[in-house]
Amino acid sequence: MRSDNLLRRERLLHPLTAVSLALVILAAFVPIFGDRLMMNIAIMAMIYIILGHSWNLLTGLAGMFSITHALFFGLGVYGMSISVAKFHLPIIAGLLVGLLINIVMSAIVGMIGSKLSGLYFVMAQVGLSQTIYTLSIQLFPLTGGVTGLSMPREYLMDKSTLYWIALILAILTTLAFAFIRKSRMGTMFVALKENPDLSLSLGSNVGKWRIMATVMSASMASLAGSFYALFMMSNNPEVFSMVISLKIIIVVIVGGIGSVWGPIVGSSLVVMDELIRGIMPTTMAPFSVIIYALVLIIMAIRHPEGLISIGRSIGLKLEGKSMKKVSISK
Amino acid sequence: MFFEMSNVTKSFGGLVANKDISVEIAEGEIVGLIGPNGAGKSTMFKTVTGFHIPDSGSISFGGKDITKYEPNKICQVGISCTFQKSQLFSALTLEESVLVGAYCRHKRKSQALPLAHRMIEFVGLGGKEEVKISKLNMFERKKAELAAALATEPKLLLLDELFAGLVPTEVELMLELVKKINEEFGTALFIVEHVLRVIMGICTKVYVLEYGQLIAVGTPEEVTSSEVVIKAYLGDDDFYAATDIKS
Repeated sequence: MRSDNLLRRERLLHPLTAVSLALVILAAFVPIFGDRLMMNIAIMAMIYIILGHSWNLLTGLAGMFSITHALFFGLGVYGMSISVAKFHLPIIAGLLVGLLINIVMSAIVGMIGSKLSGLYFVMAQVGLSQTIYTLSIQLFPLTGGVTGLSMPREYLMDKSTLYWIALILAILTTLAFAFIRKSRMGTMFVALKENPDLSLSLGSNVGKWRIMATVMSASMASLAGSFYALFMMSNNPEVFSMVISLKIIIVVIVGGIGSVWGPIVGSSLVVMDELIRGIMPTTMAPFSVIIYALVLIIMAIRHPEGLISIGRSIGLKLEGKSMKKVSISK
Repeated sequence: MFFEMSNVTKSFGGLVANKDISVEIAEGEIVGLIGPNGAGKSTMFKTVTGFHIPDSGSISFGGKDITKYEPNKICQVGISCTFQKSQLFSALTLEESVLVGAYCRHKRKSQALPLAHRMIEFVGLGGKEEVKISKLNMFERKKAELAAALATEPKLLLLDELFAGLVPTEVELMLELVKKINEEFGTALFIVEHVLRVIMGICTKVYVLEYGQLIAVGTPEEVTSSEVVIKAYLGDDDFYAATDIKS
């Protein structure tokens, strides 16, 4: 009976798989029917999907609350723009430089996270990210200061190319997250989040896994950052801003923390936000953060497990009904 | 000696939780540890498993000095434990929880998974692999924790009040299981227990702890008839002695 039950639940995943396929197909048509604005919005949504997976890996799986996640994103942006605009390196080198800086930074953050927990970890992160933010402004010759650097024109790509790259990156990170969740690493991450003491006593090197989680997560964010530099063709210190960090957090929490579907569902918020910004007069645009806050508050009260929990509960209800039918027919 | 604690002392501030403790366990032996509440039993277990570092004294296992080892290293040398109040990993499935233990010695999922399945089968939870830990009952959860600990392939297993909170029929089933662990894997067991039925049933040697000190050691029969032990448990009143402690 129980295995029967399990089979049903497995089957329930199929509608979700179908939905994701539909999403991919729909996404594939954006460059055909969409205008520049729509493509920009879609690209932003993809970037937040990547960042969402990155944050979800660190916080949703490993349970280390990353409050200044834009730090990793921003380093990816700067790695790319400095390498390409300042040192005239190829794009791939820019990507690697961003990754390298991020690995170093995340190893530091991870080491802090393996020693400190909770509020202290959060404070340390804020300190680090403010330092980097200030450096990005002050190191004018290297970073271009407040105005930032402009990428050389030959790197300008047309929107649909950028769109395809973003889509592929988003799909790859989604698959990577799903794979990691099922692998040894993912099991260890969740175990150390749930019960660090028991993980330790079962032989898991909790400190090492915490650093690993931070490095993996930062690498994903770096990817998004490097791509963002190519998309915006410039950098500026705002990529380190709290607003981006908060958006990442909200996207995942509203979508569903710890789930591979969370960032995908949650990125709809980014779409909504960009659409609203498009409609509102420019002076009002900064107020769009208020919408994020409202959505977060409502979701925290009504559906703390995220939008996907609504889908799940509907699924379970349907399952309940079909089971009733089966028992009646018998 | 297979496992040896010699003159271990651990104090927290002014409180001496363990004083001058020496314990010996032979390979494949089942040893019990009893004592009134607050006697320092859990502290002793935490010292062995690496969560506390003793102030003085040493612990050796299989010829290695493991006094200052971290908990995960202790597990890797072959000592595993179950916790007194464990929640296990409530968000993971049974299979994943046991996998955490199996990954201790097998880095590849293809090797760890069969081991995890074997252990789940061994403790009698076969068929529940995909069930979330939060959906298991108390008895199942304890067996699940045992399976996870066994998946680390320990040579010495510490059981901290594994039987607490179980109804008598479950105690019997668990007792069978614990015996089976010892027989099938040759694992030495070190059992902290309040349920004397357990201690009497399977231990060959029992240590008694009171106020942080070992006050007696011997076979279960010797220990339960010892004057000092009866006093420690029931006070000086001779009337209650011998009768209650054995039941």
